[in-house]
Amino acid sequence: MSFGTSTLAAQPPVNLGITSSYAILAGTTITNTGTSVINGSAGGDVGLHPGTAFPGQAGVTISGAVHLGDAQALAAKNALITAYNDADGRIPELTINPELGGTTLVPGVYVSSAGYFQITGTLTLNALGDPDGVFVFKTNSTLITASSSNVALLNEARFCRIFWKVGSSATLGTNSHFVGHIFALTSIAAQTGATIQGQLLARNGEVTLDTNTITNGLCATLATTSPVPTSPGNNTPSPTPINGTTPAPTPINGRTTPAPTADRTVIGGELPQTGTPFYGFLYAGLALIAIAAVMFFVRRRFENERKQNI
Amino acid sequence: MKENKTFKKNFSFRFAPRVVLVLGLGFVLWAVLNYLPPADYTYIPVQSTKDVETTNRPIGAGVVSDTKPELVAYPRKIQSGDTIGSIYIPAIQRNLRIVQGTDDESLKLGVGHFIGSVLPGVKDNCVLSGHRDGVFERLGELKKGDKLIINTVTGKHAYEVSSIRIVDADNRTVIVPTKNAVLTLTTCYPFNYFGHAPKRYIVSAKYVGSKFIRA
Repeated sequence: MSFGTSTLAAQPPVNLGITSSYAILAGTTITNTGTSVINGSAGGDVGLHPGTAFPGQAGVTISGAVHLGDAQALAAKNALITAYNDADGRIPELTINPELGGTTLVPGVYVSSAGYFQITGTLTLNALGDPDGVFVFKTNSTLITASSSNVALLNEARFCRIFWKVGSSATLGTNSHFVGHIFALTSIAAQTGATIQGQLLARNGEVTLDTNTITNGLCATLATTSPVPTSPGNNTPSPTPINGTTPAPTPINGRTTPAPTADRTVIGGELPQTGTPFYGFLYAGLALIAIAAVMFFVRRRFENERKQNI
Repeated sequence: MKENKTFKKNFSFRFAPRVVLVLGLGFVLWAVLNYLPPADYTYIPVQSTKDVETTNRPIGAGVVSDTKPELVAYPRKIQSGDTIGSIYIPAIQRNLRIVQGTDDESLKLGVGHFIGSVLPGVKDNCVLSGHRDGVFERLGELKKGDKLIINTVTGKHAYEVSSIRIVDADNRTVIVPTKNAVLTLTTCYPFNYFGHAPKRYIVSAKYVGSKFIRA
């Protein structure tokens, strides 16, 4: 019921720094199989540090620059550490089930109850009409998306406001579609045909590609507007009286402190318990009556048999 | 010793069925006595409903607080258990009292308004909950397109059922902010479940319009 800590706290986006122009960053190697495409208006750069090996590079169409073991790659890797720590430091607003497929989530900071996230089917991200609504997902271990899984954006949600902090490694399933910036501590594997709208940023390990398309787009800056009041009380200093008096409610014993009305609905409120013991007692009572009837029947039969024997 | 055993055997044989029967009848009686059939209730604002302003814009779009200060607004603070209005559901011909709060005591009084959500007619998601074996026992009869009319101190607010779904009891995606004015009705599911029901029955309704009362 408490909503002080679960109200929709507007999260700033994770600061990508100079990593923003990189579609791929890795630590040890970048390996490609088949034909992959790396593009996007934000930048199709590829960086690797301290490793230098990029087997399969010939099969990759890259719109940006390739930095293998150079100073630019090192700087980008350092910026990645900052971004990773930024995402990791966000205070979770909700602890949720690790299976994200089939769910619809609104902007917020989410942490997995089991230490990992997986997507089987479609995860829908609903920005509620706020294009700056930020989604941050935090796992202690893996992020695994199933084959043909999908991340769908709803109500002005934008890929550039979605961030995945992965405590170990991420695997994007065959022919899946993934959206957002992945910051993985170890490695990232994109399986055959997976498409990514965002970035694959691995701090220490490798990034593996297999016939993928990675689009690292620009995030347009939006004009700042004044918030629209969501409650009559926002700009009203006191309750409006009706004929000189405020409505006279019926108080309940023991509860004398009125609570302020909500200016905005909380995010992730717990559904109220709306059952009573009615059916429990009714069913239990009927069951006991049935048992009593059986006992009466058995007793009568036993007594009849005893009378006959006598 | 043998006589004592026979006595106990006869006693339990003769009286046990009666004890079980009385216990069973007691349980059923308790259930019946504690069953609270929803009484019809119509919230009548102090003002005449003739003096209204019709609009299809919910509160929060500047109607009350900014451009129309002459219209009645909700109190800034409402106590749990206070009556805040009534909801009329034409499809099942019920007029139900709405109280502030969804705690046990409040839900005994009528449909409970989830305190962490906005009030009826306000732009955002207004959440109302009720007992599956009480005020919302016939919620399952609603279908898409049915009208819901809420009467409050601010006026009448009309909604139309847009979707119905069943979710797990721990689902946290129902009570969330929305861009537009939405009314969400929740109750436990299955309706006649023994014990704590594992699901929730969710009726979502889109905002249609309001008739605001002038102060």
